[in-house]
Amino acid sequence: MVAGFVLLGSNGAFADHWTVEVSAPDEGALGETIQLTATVEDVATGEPVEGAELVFFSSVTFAGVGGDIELGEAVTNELGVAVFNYELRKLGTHTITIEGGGEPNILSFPVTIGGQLYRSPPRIGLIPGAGGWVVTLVVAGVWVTMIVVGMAVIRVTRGSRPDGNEAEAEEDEQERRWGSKWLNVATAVTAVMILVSGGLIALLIRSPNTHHNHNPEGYDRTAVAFVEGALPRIRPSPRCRSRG
Amino acid sequence: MEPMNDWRLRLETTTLNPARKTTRNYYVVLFFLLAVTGWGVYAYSVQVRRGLVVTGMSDRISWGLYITMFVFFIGISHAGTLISAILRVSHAGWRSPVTRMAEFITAVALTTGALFVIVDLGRPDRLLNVLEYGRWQSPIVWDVVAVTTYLTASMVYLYLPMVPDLAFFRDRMAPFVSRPKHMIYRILAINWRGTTDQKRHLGRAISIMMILIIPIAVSVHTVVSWIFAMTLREAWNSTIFGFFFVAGAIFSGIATLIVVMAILRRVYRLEEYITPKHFLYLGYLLAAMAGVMIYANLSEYITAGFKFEEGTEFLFRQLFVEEFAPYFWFYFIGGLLTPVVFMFIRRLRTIGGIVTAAVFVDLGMFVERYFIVVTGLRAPLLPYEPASYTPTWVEWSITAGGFAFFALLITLFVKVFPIMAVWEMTEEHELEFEQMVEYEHEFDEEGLSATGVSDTTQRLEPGSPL
Repeated sequence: MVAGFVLLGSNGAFADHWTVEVSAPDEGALGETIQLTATVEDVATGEPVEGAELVFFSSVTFAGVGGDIELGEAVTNELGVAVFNYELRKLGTHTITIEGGGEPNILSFPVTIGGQLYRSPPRIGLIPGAGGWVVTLVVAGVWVTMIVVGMAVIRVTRGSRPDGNEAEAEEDEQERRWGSKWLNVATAVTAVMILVSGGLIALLIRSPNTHHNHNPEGYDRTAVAFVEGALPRIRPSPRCRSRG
Repeated sequence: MEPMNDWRLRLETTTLNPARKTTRNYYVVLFFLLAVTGWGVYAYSVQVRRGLVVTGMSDRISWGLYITMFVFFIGISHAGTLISAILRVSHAGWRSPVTRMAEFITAVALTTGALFVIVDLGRPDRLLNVLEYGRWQSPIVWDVVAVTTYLTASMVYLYLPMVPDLAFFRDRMAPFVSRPKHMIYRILAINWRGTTDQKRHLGRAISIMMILIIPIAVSVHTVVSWIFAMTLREAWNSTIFGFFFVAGAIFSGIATLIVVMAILRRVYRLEEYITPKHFLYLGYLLAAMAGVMIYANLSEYITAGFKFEEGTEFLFRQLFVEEFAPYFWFYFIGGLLTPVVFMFIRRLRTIGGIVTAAVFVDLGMFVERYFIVVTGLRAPLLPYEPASYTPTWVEWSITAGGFAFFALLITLFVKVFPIMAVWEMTEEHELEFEQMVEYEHEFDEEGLSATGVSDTTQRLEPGSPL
């Protein structure tokens, strides 16, 4: 899903001798990495400042405690432009704070985005050929073997050939006829096994579609997205500004 | 030498007796088990009405006694696989009197264990979610598939070798049982006449199943262990959990078989067939598996203790010296060392000693399942105080009901079905008998040539060493 991306905030001076212009794309998709651009100029000369170090923070609140998480750093080039790649990882307003040159001046602006952030990592899928079909085949193989056993037992029921005794043959025939009137356990068990195996295999085969975010058509959920990279580190105290 | 027919007649009578005669004690036991099971059902109805809030489980420790029962019963279901399938594959002749018991322990334990998953759900209708939303990537789905497969396979594997004995019951029980009960035998005997064709087909079916059921059983307890090992918890973060659980399952399965065997032997006077030899052999197997379990424990804890990652200290403290220390040390000393010691010391290597060791093993393994489940969840993942878990009367009642249900199913089984594999035992005995006759014949001939005596005065009795 592509969400509207609004850059608010006031551009201002970092320090007495610097000005900064901040820009960002008009919109960004969830999970996308957007570029925050900061252009730093010298107030006195109007020339771009090269080599200025800018530090980017995000304001967050967790469990009633607020503070700033350091997102990373960027250094201006010869044009005075520092580009910071920012990954859109959450809903709502993003407040990015930029500090530069060791000066206390801070520039904040909120970012509004929308959508859902999730994508399952590949895990075992990294092994070539691994997937649900392997599990399905193994389960099917086991159940087919059990059904073969069931068929053998059906042959026990039907395949009674008394060894050369007429009286026994007659008795056997009577028993067989009696059995056919009532429940034939072997056939019933085999039928149950076929049904159960069908159910289990159906469960495995349809499993990719049981969670609708994997099949978004007609389902009101956002597209799957994934953000890679290391987690931002919590800025250690005392620079963490508590608001809770 | 006792004629073969006399021996067979005695075996048949012994096997028929439990189904033919019902003592007053049987009804007392039956009533008691029904009452405890009923109490468990009542407790479960309370839980269904009021929800899982009536249990001691919470958001932090969301598994307790129910999952312990599930893992424990799935574990002891391996009795049938080991004793029946593995020993049958390896042609261990001594197994035949105990195979039936092992097989029905499997079926009954699996039924009981599977029920506890539903109990743990709180709302039983939530089981349908597995079918509706299940995905093959989920360990829960692996469990459903494996347990269903194993339950079906073990029922079939229980039934197949029983067909000739059911036919024997069909032919012999008509005067002693009601018409509907006889009809059940007639239906279940599937027209068995013991013809060459039938023997061939049945033999083929049993051969396939006895091999197939071994990997199925191993897979079941492996995926049961993966329910834990696939979860990010310090206590469950182990690569050998699958092996550990399979070994533990076989271990507790043997112990349960020994206990059930001892009870049925005493109640139904099976001393002639279930001999001290059976206890001794199973005792050795128990001690061997205890050795495997000790090794697995040492391997598990030494590697974790050496690395001592974050969280290990908390786990080790609660397990070895704090809250769960009594459980752990009871399991380790009572459950693992006892069978080794009992089998090592000659004076303790008696039926009573082996049964005592088996009881300790069962208790130890139950406790082990409990602390594996609870300690894993107790360790906090965030800087909170550790959660606590105390089972409520509802959980204890349902647990007691579960054990009673397990015993009830066995009690009912032995009342209806043959408790020993008559045809297998007869085949074994016939083979032994033929070997003995052959030996005697050879002995006679050698005796003649060596001593010139035309007849031997010493006769071997059945069971004498060949």
